[in-house]
Amino acid sequence: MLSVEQVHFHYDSDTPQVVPHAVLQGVDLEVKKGSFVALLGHNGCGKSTLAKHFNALLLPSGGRVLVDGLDTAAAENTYPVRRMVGMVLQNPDNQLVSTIVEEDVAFGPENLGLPPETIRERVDEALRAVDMWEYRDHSPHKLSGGQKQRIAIAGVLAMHPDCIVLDEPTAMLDPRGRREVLDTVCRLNREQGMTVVLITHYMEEAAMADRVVVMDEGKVLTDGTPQVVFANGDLLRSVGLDVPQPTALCAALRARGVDLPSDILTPEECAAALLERMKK
Amino acid sequence: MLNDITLGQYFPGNSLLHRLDPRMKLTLTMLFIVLVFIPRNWISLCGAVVLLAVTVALSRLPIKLLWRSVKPILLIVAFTAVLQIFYVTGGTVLVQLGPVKITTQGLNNAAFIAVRIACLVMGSSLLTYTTTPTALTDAIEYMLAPLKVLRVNAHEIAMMMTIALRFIPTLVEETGKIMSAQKARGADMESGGLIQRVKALVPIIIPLFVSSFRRAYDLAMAMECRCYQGGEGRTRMKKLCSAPRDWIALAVYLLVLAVLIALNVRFGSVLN
Amino acid sequence: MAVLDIQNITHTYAAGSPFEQHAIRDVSLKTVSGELLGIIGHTGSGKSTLIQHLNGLLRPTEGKILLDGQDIWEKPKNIRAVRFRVGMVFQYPEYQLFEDTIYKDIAFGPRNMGLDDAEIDRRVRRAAADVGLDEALLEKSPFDLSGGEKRRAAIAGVLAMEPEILILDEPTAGLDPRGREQILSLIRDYRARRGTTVLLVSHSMEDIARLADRVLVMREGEVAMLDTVERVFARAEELEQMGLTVPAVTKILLLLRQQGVDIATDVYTVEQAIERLLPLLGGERAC
Repeated sequence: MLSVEQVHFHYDSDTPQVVPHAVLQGVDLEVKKGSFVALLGHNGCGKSTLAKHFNALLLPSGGRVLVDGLDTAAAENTYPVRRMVGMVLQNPDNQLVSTIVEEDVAFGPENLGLPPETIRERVDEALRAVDMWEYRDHSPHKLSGGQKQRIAIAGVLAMHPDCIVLDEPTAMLDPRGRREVLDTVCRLNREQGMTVVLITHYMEEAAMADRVVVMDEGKVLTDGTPQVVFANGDLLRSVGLDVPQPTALCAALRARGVDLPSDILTPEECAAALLERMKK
Repeated sequence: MLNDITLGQYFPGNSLLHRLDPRMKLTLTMLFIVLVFIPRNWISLCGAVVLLAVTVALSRLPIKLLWRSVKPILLIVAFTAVLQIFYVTGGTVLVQLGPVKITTQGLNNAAFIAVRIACLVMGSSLLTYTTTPTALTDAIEYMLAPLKVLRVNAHEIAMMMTIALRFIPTLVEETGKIMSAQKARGADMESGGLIQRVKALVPIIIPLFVSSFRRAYDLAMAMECRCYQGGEGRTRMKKLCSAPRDWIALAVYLLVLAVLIALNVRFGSVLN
Repeated sequence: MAVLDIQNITHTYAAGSPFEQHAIRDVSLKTVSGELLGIIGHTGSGKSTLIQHLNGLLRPTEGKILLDGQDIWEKPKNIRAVRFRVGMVFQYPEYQLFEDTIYKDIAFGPRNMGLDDAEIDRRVRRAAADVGLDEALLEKSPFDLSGGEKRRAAIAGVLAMEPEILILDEPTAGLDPRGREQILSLIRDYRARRGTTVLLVSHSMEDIARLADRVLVMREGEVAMLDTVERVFARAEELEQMGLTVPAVTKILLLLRQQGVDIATDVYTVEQAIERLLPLLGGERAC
């Protein structure tokens, strides 16, 4: 689906340095159709810069990015690529265009030049998929952050993308909003087979993915299932990240000689494992 | 709340007026403005008032609402009326204080103009009260489209209006937050002379500008992500479509226009 | 140190409007000198409304707020003096930076206090040091700083007023783990050094658990709980029912308890949990 090959990126010297350290130094990444990839890393590690390469917002200075075989660097591919790879940004307020929810969702399909009846169908379908159909004629500014972010997701879905990239979609939300957005994303991945790339710096969110890619200083640091990546707590802590608390608890207990599995991610798994151990 | 005032222009409903094509409503509003300026005598003006009354009745909006729209400009109405009283001389002198005369003609003119302005404001408020901002923007886009020959990009104008409408409440809210934050640092906005008060606005206006630019940058990026390439090749989900009722409404307005002109001719002018 | 005594305050926004849910009802609270009080609750639970009363940005519809025994609204003209004593750091405080240098921006508060230049200079430098900003950054424009530095500079702008009570609304919102850690440790260090009473509003139970002495839980404009951290987390079930996220460790113990394991949920760190769990697991105390 997404294929990143030896991508380097630096801002041109004549443009103001928007993100001074966010340069990519040879990133290789392959995202398979239907997978759910979490991209972790602290600010300035290049994860947002990388994300902008997925839909041709930025073009690599070296190497190439292929979306379903299309090279993003070719001018004629720009819009097909943007249709295929939808992007949801961090600030829910700054990505909604219209004063009415359903018209905002229609914005993308309208840009694609689809016939009105098709747009109508897609808007309804997308709003139902994010569970916001009842709010279709509301004004976005009166909705909560989580609801706005779901509208933004609907706006992307209505373009019938093959992949959704979410750039820290929960950073500005409260816990309830975060849960709403994550549930929506997980559902889309599980039920509709949507390819998801979730950029985040919350470990618990990354634990929901089926693959975690950790970036540091413009490079991929580790890449694997959450179980494998979070098993290496020291490496993560060395780049300013952490492991989910349940994983940390199990690791600490193991260090004290308690026999526990090393692939624990969620409180539920952890409690189940502990219970199992206590029964022995 | 401040938020509600800015967006509170539209009052949801399903009256005949709500259902009219926004393009027609825009046309009718312009026609109404002409209508209000045509009358030269009270009978003719009555015609315009009756037309307004019928339109208001069809909108099913509470009269109180329309009164609210006129209230803020009462001062202007009063001011214009007073000017008329003092400047227009003619007819019988009722009161004379030195050089200042109040005449029957002056009073007549003042009343006439006051009614005229009130009608004008109510008539145009009806448009925003019964039309959503988006519908209005679409109508403007459609009606400006012929200006393409003059290199006016109607789509861009409409897009700007939409974005402005979308972000006004957000920025109003943001202004409130920034004001609180600066007040918490002891900013004093309530006292001092004019210059001091203007100076006190700097800590609010600069962050507001900075944040607007940031939002503009984000929004531009979000629009690009959603394949926005300007008006070219774009379609709309909601198409404007006119129904017979639109043409009937137009016919009624044109008829009234003709009647008012006839009344003008028949009864002459009462204005000085 | 000053004590805030909030007595039965109620705040109703334009009655009859749909915004009434933001109001607070009959909230009472007395700060303990030098404590760190965590405030949690959903968006719309009234916590923002509550804190804006504490420095006189909002005036209660009913009830009184006493600062060292004195009603802050006794002389409304003097409300600015209250704002210097009760410092408030808003959410995303970096959005309030407006001067052309960090120095001038931090000096904004002290200047409004009418202090002389020498005192202002002392306070600016001290506040910058408090938040770990390098002296060299003081002459820079706020726009040349990184996100985390901007946030710290904005916090310094409030610290420079040397408030007796410091309120922070979601000071770590939107930051990455490293940025969050920096802000939290600066709050902890500052408090240890100055003994300032701190009120910390946060969505993150983990942060509250680590820093706070007491926790205030707000629900629908009312005080739902006000107690020590341990006692509040011991009621983890209720917190979950309110839809608040308890720390993962607390959640694990809660799940165990629901499965019939006899264990208390009044813990919130990995270390505490180990202490509780080891006896049950029969593991050896290796170190």
